[in-house]
Amino acid sequence: MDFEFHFTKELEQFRKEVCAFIEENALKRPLVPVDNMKMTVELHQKGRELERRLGAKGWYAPAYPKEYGGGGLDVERCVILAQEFATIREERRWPGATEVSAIHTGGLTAHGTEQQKRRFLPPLLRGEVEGWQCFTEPEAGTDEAAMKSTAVRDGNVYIVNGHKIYVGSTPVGVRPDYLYWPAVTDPNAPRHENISAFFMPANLPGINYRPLDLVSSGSGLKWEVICENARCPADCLIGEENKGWLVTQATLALEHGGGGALVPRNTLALKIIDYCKKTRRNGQPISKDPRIQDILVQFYIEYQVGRLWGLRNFAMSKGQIPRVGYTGTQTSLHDKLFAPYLGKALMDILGPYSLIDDADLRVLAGRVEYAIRQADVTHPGGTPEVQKIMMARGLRLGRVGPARATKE
Amino acid sequence: MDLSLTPEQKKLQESARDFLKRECPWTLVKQIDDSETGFSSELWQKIVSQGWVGASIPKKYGGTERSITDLGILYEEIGHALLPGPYFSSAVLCASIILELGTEQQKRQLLPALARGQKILTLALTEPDYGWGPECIHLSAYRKGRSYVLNGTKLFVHDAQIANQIICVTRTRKSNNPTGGISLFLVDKKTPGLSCRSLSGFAGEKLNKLTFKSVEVPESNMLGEKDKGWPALAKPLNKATLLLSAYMLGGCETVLDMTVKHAQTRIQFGLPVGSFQWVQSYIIEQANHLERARWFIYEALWKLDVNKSEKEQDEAVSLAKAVSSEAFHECAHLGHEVHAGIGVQKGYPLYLYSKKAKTLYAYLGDPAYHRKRISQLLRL
Repeated sequence: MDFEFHFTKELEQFRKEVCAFIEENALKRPLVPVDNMKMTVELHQKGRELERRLGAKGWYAPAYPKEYGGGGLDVERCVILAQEFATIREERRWPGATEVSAIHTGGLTAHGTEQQKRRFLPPLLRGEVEGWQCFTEPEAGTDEAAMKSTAVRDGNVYIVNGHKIYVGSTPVGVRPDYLYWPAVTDPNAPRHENISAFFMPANLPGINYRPLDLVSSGSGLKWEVICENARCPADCLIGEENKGWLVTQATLALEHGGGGALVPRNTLALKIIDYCKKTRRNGQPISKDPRIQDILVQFYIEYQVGRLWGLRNFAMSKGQIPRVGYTGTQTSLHDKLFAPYLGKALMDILGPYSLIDDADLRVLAGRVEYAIRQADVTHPGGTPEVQKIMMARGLRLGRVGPARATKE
Repeated sequence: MDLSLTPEQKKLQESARDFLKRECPWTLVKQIDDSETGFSSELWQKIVSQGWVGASIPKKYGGTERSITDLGILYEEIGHALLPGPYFSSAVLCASIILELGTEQQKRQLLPALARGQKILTLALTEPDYGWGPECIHLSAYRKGRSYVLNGTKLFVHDAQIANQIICVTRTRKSNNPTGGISLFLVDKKTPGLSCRSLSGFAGEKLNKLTFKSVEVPESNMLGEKDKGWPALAKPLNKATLLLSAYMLGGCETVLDMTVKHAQTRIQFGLPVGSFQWVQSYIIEQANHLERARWFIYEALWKLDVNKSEKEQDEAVSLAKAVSSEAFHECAHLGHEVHAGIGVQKGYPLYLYSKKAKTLYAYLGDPAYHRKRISQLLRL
């Protein structure tokens, strides 16, 4: 076993190249808001521009094949990119995404036809287009298969009707390029065999957008989108008609941490430890209080769990170690449960300082206040309960109750 | 970054698993646990002939000198089967101490016999003022001619009831800094004045009280330098603590497997009980504990093998033990929640694991001890 990435001189040269590119293109000051729900239009557009520049270098989708617009790079170069971009993002000087979202490519690469891949992948992998994942509906959240949105074939188009909610990520005034929109195409077919997935153009007549006013989201501003007889070209179908459930599930599997993480997450835990060592309260550094010491040790442990499981999942995805059925969702569950734990613990350590966003008194540039709000936001990408249900299946524990949604 | 096992490690893992499946069924584990000595010399001989007892001893002293990761894999399998016996005390802990502190003569005298299973050693460290830090060492050793005289008590000593010799951690000099003034002695168990009593109770190892009443030990039996014993214990204790964690991980795996099987086959209300979400939630927690322990342990094994800095090794070992102490205990307890009445029958193996988990929870440092060490290493 070897837990380290090893970089040759040649690879360190690549790292220098990446750092030079980053410095040339990044913001000079830390302007990216800690809470991405507060992103400005200007910064968002700057981010889109940076995504395009990354894409032009093949660095926006470094692991994907060159023939589809990816970088075709080896694992080590992908790690270097991940490491350097994680650093600049921590510094809040990189407004855009630093990597193509597997949410959008996952279903397409797993179930798309060759024609669909050649049409939709290159703009995605080159950072030229921005899409919204539009799975959730007001009556179909955890029970996604109960979605009511419809798409009826009419000649060369599908007529799409429906209402999606908790979708998107862009500031007010910015539209995405397309909507990754599943809908029922066969109302008579059984559950899971009745849905098709589309990459629908976002500017079709009949599509209306309303921003949501949320406590927090974790992924930018959220919206509801209502489709009234939008005419979506038929060649925007992803995968086969009525096989859209497979497409969306492939996406969700990746959203649930299956691919692994090459760079540790939850680095706020480390920042808090550092903050408590450097900040005095009641005559001593905060970290001297034995009660708080134990909390900080727990932060450290949870941070390490996330890091180690990221490496584990990566190793599984590369076939280094045997796959274990529940490990993707296990990682996602850990992340989700870390957020409320962190939020509560921050209050135990910092008291009402943790609630403040005031420019003079806020802690770690507002990261703590954001974490307090995020503590109650465990649902995006699937609730912790859903993760547990999937873990139970991965543990082969069976299920009780009907496999199909019952209508009440 | 490659987390795969080498072909040789996979072979070691498979052969250990097969061997233990054959030679160490849980019914034998129970039989040995119920016995007065908690030891089967027949089983011991079989394990010795596998080369496992000599596995952490260099070839020149008669061992098979495996890497720490190899040993971790082996001890994970041993923990799976809950193999009873003083492997850990003798073959890992004491062997490592002798390697670290012994003179060449002492190594030649002790290690080959240890590797052949002819000598069984154990470490006596903890005392009635229980704890794993140097401030808890009070048993005194004063010089008398060419000997030292030991007085005091060692408590909760594993395997003392079958050991031939005890490595005893003593205080040879009072010191303001408790890490100074500690010396280690090799004491023959038959030495006059030394008595050993196994304590009854609900423990997965025989826990012993050793009373030292003017026990005379030749000075040539001192291991390492006088008064400098404590810092020298650091490396052997790290290695042993980590391999103990690997053993506990193996225990977690068996408990999880047992619990899943039970949940799949126990029918109530016309369904396997594993269909019910409350039951599922226990098993999910088991899986979380297990995987937490696993990866701290594996990374620590690697860190010790590639000789990371002392600080990094200390931190890795303490993380592994803190997490695996909780993990083994929780896995076993959660197993009981799922098994209900069936789980507390002594005709079913689960209780052996929960008993072991409770005993190893504190051995070589409980979570609080190791969390304290982590907070010191983080300089909080």
